[in-house]
Amino acid sequence: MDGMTPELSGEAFRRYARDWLRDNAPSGFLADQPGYTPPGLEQSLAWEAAMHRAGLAGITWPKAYGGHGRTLREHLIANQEIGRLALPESVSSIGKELAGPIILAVGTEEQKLRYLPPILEMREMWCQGFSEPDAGSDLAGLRTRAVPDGDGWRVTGQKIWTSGAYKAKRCLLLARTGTVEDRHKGLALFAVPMDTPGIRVVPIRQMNDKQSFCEVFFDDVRVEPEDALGKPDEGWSAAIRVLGIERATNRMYRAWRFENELRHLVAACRQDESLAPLLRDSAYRQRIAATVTDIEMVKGHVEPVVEALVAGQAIGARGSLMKLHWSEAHQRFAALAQEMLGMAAPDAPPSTLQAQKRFQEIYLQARAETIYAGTTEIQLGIIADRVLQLPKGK
Amino acid sequence: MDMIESGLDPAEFAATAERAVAACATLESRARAARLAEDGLLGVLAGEEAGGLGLGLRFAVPVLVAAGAGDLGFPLLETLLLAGALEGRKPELVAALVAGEARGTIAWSGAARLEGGRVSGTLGRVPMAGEADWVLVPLTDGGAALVAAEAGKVEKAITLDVTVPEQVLRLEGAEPALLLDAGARSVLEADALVLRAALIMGAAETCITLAAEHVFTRRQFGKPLVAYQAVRHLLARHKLGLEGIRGAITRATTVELEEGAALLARQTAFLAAATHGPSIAEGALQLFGGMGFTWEVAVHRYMRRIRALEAQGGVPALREAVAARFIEAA
Repeated sequence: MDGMTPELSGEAFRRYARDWLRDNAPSGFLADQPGYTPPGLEQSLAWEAAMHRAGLAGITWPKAYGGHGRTLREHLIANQEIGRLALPESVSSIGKELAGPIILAVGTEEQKLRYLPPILEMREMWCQGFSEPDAGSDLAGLRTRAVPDGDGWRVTGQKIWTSGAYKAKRCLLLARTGTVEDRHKGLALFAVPMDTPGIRVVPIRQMNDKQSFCEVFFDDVRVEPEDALGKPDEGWSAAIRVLGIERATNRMYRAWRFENELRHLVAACRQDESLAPLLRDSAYRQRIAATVTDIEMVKGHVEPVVEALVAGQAIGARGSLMKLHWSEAHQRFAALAQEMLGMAAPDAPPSTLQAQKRFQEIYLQARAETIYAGTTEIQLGIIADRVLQLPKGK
Repeated sequence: MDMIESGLDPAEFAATAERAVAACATLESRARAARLAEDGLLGVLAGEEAGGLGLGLRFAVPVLVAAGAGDLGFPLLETLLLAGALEGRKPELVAALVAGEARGTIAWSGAARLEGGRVSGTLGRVPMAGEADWVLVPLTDGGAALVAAEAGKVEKAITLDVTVPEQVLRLEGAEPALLLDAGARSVLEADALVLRAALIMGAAETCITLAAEHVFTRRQFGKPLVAYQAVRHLLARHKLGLEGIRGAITRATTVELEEGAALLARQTAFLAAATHGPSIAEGALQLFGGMGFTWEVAVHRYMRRIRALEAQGGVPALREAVAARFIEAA
């Protein structure tokens, strides 16, 4: 099916994406539909590979590396259509959203050809080895060392909050080649195979009772020269630039998924006679409208960014605005959903139970949303420094 | 699309409007209309045959942002909307409004009765009614009537706004010069939401600028206030709110949307402004400390104006309308 969409754009592409998703999304995948069964890893891999073949993933990546060579406009349209449905999150977001774009920016031709197609074809998942026990938001405090070893490197250190490390084929590893005092200097990026001797993965039980993120220990791990991404310094500074854009273009579906969730909440309340009166209560109606406003504001952060990027304009730290508004609004909404669904009668219908389950997971997951990918406090700092450009005032 | 056809750039309107608004600050109230008309700013939405520019809302947005930012003491939003809504219906009046020779305003609260072809009722939130020649008045049947201001009695109102003060208009059997149907009125009101959001955005942006200047110069405990993270993060939150308003307005005026989504985008652009505008202004006032509580520091003027604009848009009723449609469609 690859190659069937290049000629489509605008509304034609939207219709294609909508129809394809409707016809191909496994019915059990949709969290707001009866018969929902959360997919296992193998099912998710197959589904995401099918989405890629259909032209709905890897949209802006060059064709030479397995992508579809389209613009961010098609990327946005596909995201809007994906967001409208209660589909599961990607099981390979680190590869698609972080490793891939960084490799596109700093990788050699050989690295791009080697690493990128398996990401989109869902043959290789990646994990992100950035955070450490003593370097969470402050990556300049990294201690994991990479020392020259012949033509390659040897890495020793510990990473933490490494989502999906247990299933990852490769780790996008950030390590330092100099000393801790060098701060942001001498940071180097590597693409380390996770089956290299000396790597040990220890899953962490999360507060939502899932095991996704892990500790990863590197004990004198040999890294081959062809797995270094850019020169020391170079790789990391390019990665920082890439991340500024990625923060604005990743998961563009979020506003539309948020809308799907609010719609699900309202529909679930309406189907339950113990909850239906809430929809007539003006206090809840005002809060529903405030949530709709938040959703529209998140869309307002997303859509103009696409046009700006397509027009070749710099978007600065606008991704921080979107991430911050979305994550906090989503937490408010998740709490509203808990409050409303918590008023259901004990003999609630199956539709309520399904909604309670979905929104309980969303409520717990939402606590992470103001922590990962730059905490709220980091985003506020970025906005103060780079958007408002406030002087430091020392 | 209109930009491509006309070869005009909304950004140029911003620069022109900023200059005109700055010039108005030293002019008497009546001279402001002429000054704004000089630059063509009163006819952005009016048809070309009446001397207007016949452009879309996105060209009016930068003009109103400038008006909000510069604390313009003129009912610009009302004038632009009237000149647009009366196009083809009252050509001479539109021409006079665009030329700054006639003054118009709109009543944003209350509704008058139309009985036997005459209009009666008490209308509130009428910006600068005392200086207006014409007032557009909402009717209980959903439409609106244009009446001569002198046909009614203008009274002082309790209002926060000291820039474009609201007044009360009492009508008893006034003769309407024109009637607009419910459809025309709802189009005008939906446009008003976006333009009001633009006014609030301009005012809020000035509040952030003033506060940022203040925290840079004001020193306490041996360093400028801007060095404190609590202050930096507060300003960052205000900026987040401001850019959220900007994004919502941009979306409502430039992204192609289906009809229902387009109305929702207009409504939520205003709700975004009404949610974040007041907290930006109030937060800026707080950052000024005791000086913020003086008449001299202008932040209070912007805060007052934003609160009045918020009330003119009728936030609770609008939220109710947004919720009703969302719940119905879910």
